Amino acid sequence: MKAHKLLYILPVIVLIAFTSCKKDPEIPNEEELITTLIYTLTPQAGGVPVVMMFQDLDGDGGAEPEIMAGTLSAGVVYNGVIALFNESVNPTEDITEEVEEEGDEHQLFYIVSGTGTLVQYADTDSDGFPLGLATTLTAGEAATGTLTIILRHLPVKTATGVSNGDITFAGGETDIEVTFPLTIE
Amino acid sequence: MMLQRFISIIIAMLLGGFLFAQKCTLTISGRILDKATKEPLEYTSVAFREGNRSVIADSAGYFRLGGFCAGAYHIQIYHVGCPPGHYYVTVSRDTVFTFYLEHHSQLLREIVVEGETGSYQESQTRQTLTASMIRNRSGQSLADLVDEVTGVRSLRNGGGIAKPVIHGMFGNRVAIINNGLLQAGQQWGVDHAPEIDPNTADRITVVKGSDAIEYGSQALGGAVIVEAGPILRDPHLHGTVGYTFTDNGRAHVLQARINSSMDKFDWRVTSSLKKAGDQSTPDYFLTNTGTSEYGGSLQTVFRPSEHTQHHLYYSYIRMQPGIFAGAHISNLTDLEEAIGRERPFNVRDDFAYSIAAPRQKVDHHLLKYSGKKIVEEFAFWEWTYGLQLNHRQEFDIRRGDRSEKPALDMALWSHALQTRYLNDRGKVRYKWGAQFRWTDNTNDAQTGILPLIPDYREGQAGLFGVGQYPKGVFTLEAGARYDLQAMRVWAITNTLPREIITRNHIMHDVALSAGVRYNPAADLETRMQHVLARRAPEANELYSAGLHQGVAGIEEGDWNLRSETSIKSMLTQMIEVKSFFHAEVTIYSHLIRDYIYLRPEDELRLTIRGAFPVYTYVQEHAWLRGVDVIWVSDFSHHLEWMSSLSWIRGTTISDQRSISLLPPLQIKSMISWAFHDHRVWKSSKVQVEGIYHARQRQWDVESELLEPPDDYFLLTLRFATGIKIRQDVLHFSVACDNVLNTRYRDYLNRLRYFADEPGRSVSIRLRFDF
Repeated sequence: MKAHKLLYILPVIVLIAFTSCKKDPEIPNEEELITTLIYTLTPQAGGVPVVMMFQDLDGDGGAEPEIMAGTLSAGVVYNGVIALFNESVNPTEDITEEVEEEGDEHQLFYIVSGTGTLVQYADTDSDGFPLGLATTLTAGEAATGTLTIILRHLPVKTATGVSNGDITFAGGETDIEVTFPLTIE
Repeated sequence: MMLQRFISIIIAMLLGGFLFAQKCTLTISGRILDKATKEPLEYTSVAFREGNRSVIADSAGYFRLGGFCAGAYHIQIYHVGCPPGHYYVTVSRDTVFTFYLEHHSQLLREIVVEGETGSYQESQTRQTLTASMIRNRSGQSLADLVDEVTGVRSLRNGGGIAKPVIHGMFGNRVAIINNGLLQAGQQWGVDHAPEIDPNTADRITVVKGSDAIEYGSQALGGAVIVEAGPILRDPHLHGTVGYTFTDNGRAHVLQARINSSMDKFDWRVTSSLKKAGDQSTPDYFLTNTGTSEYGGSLQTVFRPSEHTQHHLYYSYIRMQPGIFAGAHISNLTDLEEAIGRERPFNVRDDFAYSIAAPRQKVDHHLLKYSGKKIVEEFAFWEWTYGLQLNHRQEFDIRRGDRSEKPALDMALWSHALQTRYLNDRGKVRYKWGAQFRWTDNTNDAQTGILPLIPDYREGQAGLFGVGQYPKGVFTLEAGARYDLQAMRVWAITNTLPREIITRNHIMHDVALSAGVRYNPAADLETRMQHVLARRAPEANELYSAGLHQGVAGIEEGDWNLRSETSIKSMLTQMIEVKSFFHAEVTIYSHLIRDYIYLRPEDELRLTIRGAFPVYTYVQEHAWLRGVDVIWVSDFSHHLEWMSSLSWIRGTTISDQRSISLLPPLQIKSMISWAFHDHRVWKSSKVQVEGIYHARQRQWDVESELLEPPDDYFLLTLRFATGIKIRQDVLHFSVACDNVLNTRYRDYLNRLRYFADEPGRSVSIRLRFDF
């Protein structure tokens, strides 16, 4: 009986010994990750800014992202500014700069549904095409809907409609796609 | 019979050393037989290079020619419809030889694993691609080559990346045996092609039954055995130089092999080079589908005595395929937009060789030493040590000049130590062996991305034995195997703060097989085999975590998965009516308990890049069954007709849902005409082949993004000839694939969502054997 048990356990011990003493893997520095998008809307006439935020600190898996939406006032014109961060690294990395530097390879798109709200580009890249980090938002009538913000990497900026913020023929790949509930009072 | 000829040649060589008689009165005679059927090949031309003499065999395959001096001769044998046979013999007295030529469809019959001697025949169904078939399709990938075998298909990711599917099984369930070693690559990935250069191979055998007894659980769905052949014992420098051009993709392939043999030492060197650009469909270029590949091998054999052999083998291959630009999608919205477009995104209007991200770069090194001791005439011991290093890098389109930085970078080291003993004579023929494998997978953290599969180490020890008992018209076979596997995993959590968790997995698995061969007459044979095998889940099934770009899905492993238990049963019936037809029918059933597969979950996971479907590895009982039929008719030595059919169906047992990625029905028909040899033109042949691929009607709505594509028919034309230049032959062939320039999509190609398959393609092959 004992001999049998030994026969069974011995090879297990040998195999484990062969497999165990490996160095712990290095945890990659996820410098490219975007964890946080903040869209700050300041009324042109002055007043309290409205902040929308999407935050997913642990990346694709793990915990659910946090979404914070704001309430806009009907008919008010806002200056919109996008800020992007990677908060998974210490210190926090500002991705906005990276997008700005590579402005010709990026474009943000704003897709509004249900409220008649208008978003217009207020900045350009080095080639004179819209970039979308800065925008002008004109709130529509009192209603609820959604606002989707998309960041495309390597879009075809010359394609039909792309300069006017129409994503249909933009191509490229999506670095960000977040949707906020939009309430206008 | 190979060994017998080998031995007779050796004896002749040895005697040649003792005798110095230089009188030129010796006679060489013999017979030429069909390698598969052992029937004589009539009116065969036997040419002796030395002295430029030749003779035609009679109607019974016999030949005789006198007036030879003692010495060595190169013999070439030509027969209509066969690839020419090359032999090197030494004669010191009147000598009788038997030569075997490969006649007609070599794909047809089970061919004994040569070098393992004569009579050990497996009860499973295996089909072999011979050296001449491999050379005639030079430039194609391993998966493309084995795709020729009925019941075998390939799973693709565009033109350059393909892996074999045997009876619906692939990846972790099909073992690729590279020169006696289990290929240790990242074979789990559907977009990971086996890292093997077919130019190094002389024989590729597809085991359609289960080969889990000898090769372990990875072979439970079948095996592809790639081998370099024995080196001809000829002191002269011989070799092959070949060039292939394919117009679709403007692919250039250059291949060379040189071998020679000394007193106790044989060697062979091979090398190949491939450069291909964007392929094109009938309507547009498939941008970024080029590939660049190079590789080589060195094979040496040292024979201190006639009973002992030492083999040293090294091979290297680098593969750098591009991934179709229009298939790169980053979330579900993109995927929905990219699917089913008339013209895919990101296709350029012009051809290019350049390969940009997304792309792969894979290096594979294989070093092997094996020794063989022939104990008795029909028994040998073999011991092997193998070292493999597989380095895979995958590049994605990334922000901030990071596209040159791999998004996935894994090094897989593998050591194998194995021994086996084979006895091929006596009342019970048997083989047994022991194997030990050690594997280490390490991710490079420089990617800046959490790894798709974790770092792990795995040790595996296995013991197997198979016995065969011939009794009259029956041969009974039984085998058993035991495996012990220990794996330790270092996984990084996907929650913050990132931590490393380690976990151990220990698994015991057994395999059992039973088979019978019933061979009442030479033209009638029945084979039946049942194999029960267990397969422990692999690291990807247990620990996958992350986004799979190509399918825009998040894949998640489950570390609680159990081993799969598989029972594959196969019945093969062969009937032959002499000089009329040969037919083979195989019926199989494959039951898998706790079949591990990726199931789409109902939830969509929200990330900053949008929503993604989540796929998790789950287990369910599954049943696969199918039929393979091959029919060959030889109307004459000139005209041959071959047809085949393969069908498979697979469902889960509990709710009868279809299993994804099973090949749809395929019907193939081929007619070829072999011309009489001319003074200059040798072995000329024309061939017309039509293949019908049905639409996959059995599919699961929940696990497919899109309906399977429509059925299609492909026509292929081939012409091959050998041009005799003095004593040597220049092989020339032209092949035209997809002659009708059909627009189609294939269910087993992952690009089916985005783009059509390549259109018409013409290949020109030149090969010079010296």
